[in-house]
Amino acid sequence: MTDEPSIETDYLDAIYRENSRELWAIFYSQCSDPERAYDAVQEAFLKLHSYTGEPIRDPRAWLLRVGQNWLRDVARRKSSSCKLTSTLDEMSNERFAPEQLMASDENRGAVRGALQQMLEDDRKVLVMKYALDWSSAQMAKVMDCTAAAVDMRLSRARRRLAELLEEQGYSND
Amino acid sequence: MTDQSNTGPEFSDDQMDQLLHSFYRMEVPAELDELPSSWPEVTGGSPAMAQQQGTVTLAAPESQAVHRTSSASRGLAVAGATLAACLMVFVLSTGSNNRDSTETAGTNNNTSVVGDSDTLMDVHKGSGGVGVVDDANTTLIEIDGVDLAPEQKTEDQSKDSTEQK
Repeated sequence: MTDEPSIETDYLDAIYRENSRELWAIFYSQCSDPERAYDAVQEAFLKLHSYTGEPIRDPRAWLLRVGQNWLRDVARRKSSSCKLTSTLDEMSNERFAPEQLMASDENRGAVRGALQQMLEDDRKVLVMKYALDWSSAQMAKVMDCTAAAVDMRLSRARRRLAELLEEQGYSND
Repeated sequence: MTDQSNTGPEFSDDQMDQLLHSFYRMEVPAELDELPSSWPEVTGGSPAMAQQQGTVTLAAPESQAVHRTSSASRGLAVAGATLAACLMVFVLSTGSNNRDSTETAGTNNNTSVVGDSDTLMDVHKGSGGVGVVDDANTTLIEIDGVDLAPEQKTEDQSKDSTEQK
């Protein structure tokens, strides 16, 4: 048996174009670390590239499983928790300006920390809505529920995030 | 869907929308748009691996060729050695035959010279059925029977000499 990759690069690119952003979003919703989520995507695709076993019927499901296993292994090795920074307290009295606020790594880390305190499904709908610009119908298909349920979950997730930010002294004054 | 009461007193839905849009736009890694075909692990790793595999693939026929060459050369060497051995045996046997014929032909050096000339004779002369060696129409077959000839010859010579006498 050779180590020669069974997946052609063109085919790999096509699968990547179709699935990479969604996979990243799902991994991100699980680990709240954009770089690690991207590493999981890369790891999954590299494994697919070098895969020589039985034909894969559902590459997306296969990639998702590989990436999630990789994230689990990494999480076992080191703590993946993001610490909330004190920057939110410092920023609390500043005028609310999302783009300026998010330009700071520390502030992004703070929002990440707040997101990490939320349920995984809440994070998932948020990342699909705001990172992937998916419609409620698309999210419903992936999450195996109705579009109305997705809208409810999305609204609840936003509210919960706002509460968490307020708890950290973050306001729009 | 926009419900001010849902977001609490501090944040409106629009504000949370802006915040989350800005946040996730910054969060999505720029590298995510790079296709695997541009990754060093794929382009740098695999071609090299493929090259190595190609080398291995190419190396196999070469090694087979080497094996074939070595076995062929071994066969040639064996054949050459066999041929050389046969030639050696042939030369030795020829030499011993010559020596025997020389010894049986007598102690006269001239006879041995004749024997050498017989050895050097063109073989086609004999194969044509003519086989004449000398002016007396002596053939190779007759020379082979030379052992008997000297006695007869000596008797004939003695008869001749007695008749002459």
